[in-house]
Amino acid sequence: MTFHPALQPVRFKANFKTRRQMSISPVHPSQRSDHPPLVRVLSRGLTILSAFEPTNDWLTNSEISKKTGVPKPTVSRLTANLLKEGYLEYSPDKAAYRLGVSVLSLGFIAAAHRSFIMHARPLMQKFADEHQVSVVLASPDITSMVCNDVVHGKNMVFALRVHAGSRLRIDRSAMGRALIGSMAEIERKVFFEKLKARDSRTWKALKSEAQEAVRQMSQRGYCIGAGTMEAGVNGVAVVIDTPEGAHTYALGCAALANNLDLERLERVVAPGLLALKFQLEKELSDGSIERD
Amino acid sequence: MVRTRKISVEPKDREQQVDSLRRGLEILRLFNIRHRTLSVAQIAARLNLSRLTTEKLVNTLVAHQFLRPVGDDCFEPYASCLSLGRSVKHSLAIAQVARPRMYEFSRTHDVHVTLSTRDGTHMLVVEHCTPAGKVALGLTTGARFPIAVSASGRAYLWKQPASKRKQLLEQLENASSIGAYGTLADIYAAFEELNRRGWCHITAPVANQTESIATPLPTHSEYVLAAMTVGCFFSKHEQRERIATALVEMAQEIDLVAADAA
Repeated sequence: MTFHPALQPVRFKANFKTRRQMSISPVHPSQRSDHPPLVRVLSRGLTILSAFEPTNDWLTNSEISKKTGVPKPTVSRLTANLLKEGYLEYSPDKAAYRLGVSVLSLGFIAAAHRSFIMHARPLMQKFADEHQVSVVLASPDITSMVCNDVVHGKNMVFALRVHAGSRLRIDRSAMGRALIGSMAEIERKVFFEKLKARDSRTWKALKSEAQEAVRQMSQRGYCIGAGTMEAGVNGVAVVIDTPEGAHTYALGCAALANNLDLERLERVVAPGLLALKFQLEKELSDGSIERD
Repeated sequence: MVRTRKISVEPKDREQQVDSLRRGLEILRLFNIRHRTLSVAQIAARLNLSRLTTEKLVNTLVAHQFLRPVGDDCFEPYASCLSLGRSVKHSLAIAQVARPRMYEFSRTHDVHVTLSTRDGTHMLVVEHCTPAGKVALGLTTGARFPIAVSASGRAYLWKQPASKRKQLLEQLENASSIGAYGTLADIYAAFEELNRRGWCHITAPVANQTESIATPLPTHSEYVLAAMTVGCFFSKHEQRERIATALVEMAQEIDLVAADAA
């Protein structure tokens, strides 16, 4: 395999567990003839930052140069600039650099949430195959539930027309109702105030459903939606609490009503979805899933 | 004699090169809990760059696994953002010392607890603990919020040496942070409170229906601890005093243990 010249010095020292977890590799730019060229100075800057992984030890300019293959004068210039921006810190005693706290602002928060999603995906797929349903992991965004990931049962003929990035109306999806039903009263009040200001139609629709959603979540731990999202589609949803807070995500599944009647939904699928929720929450709590 | 052409990088070129590095990293800073994916067009618009320049920068970030394509011309932060963040977080002694204490504090007093530090004109969350059963507010590690308007930001400014504080206040004024979010008078009022009590208190600092108390760490002056309540206010004066006192004690303890660990 030939690499783009700007990438030659790159030596990834990253957390290999993470890379394996996120094993869907993008097509390398060098393999795409229509791709614009790489920006050499950015490429080298990123290479220098990556040289500190995974232990973030103190490194001198010479050591960075040796580790990355970037010429020392270039390393000196780039480390000075990375220091100025707060991405590196400098020890005068050691005459060396290491990663600075500002590195945490470089997409870490979004990627950390992605880590959980990547962990959940195979479990969601297993569940989808077992029950012949579409499974959705979503997070709330005031007026909608944003799908972080969607998987479909492998033998399904008709699957939901949603994919990662889709927005489902919060008042129509079982996931939106599960979220509302799991909120504490004061939190729900604040949420409804925001929703009312943003989208009064959705607010009105959801408010009328809130009491039933609260009842279902408190009595069963899940919320059922029969034909609410789309006529002829049944679904059920739970919320996932993470160490960062309650109901960070909603996990839902759905299928056509003739494949997923309400009796099977309540007797088999809903308890299975609850079990999946508890498994994911347990793994998040005991550190099986690396959150950050 | 063989004549060789001396290849040198002119200062202007160097500036442009450095600018490319800064812009590339600025792209990564655009992503957060609300914007987990962004298109090339969105990135170009937000950073005021041409589409071609943006594509080149994004392409470079993809090649280094800092971004990955997710379809529809959209990209999301990828493995290198995570592994780089983990590397810095795991090497931060202060975070390791603070986390269990913050967790305990959060459970005992039923408040959000945040450890943050400065990142430009914002405070950057290093650690955050959410009380059981409460919504996370997106304040997880890596989140940013404005210095001028937040209790944490004001406590940070107060703790800095006078010359640095002056410089930062000028920087905030230039960035319109003060005009947009509050007044200089509010910041000086917080300084007064910090002088008197060692902590400051703000109602609705970042979001409505919230209330924050913040105190800087005594010697690790780059870090600030804050307690925040959502929805239910520190209604009684005694309650606020009690939590503030406990917060200051926790800051002192974290400071001491972190100094020993170092």
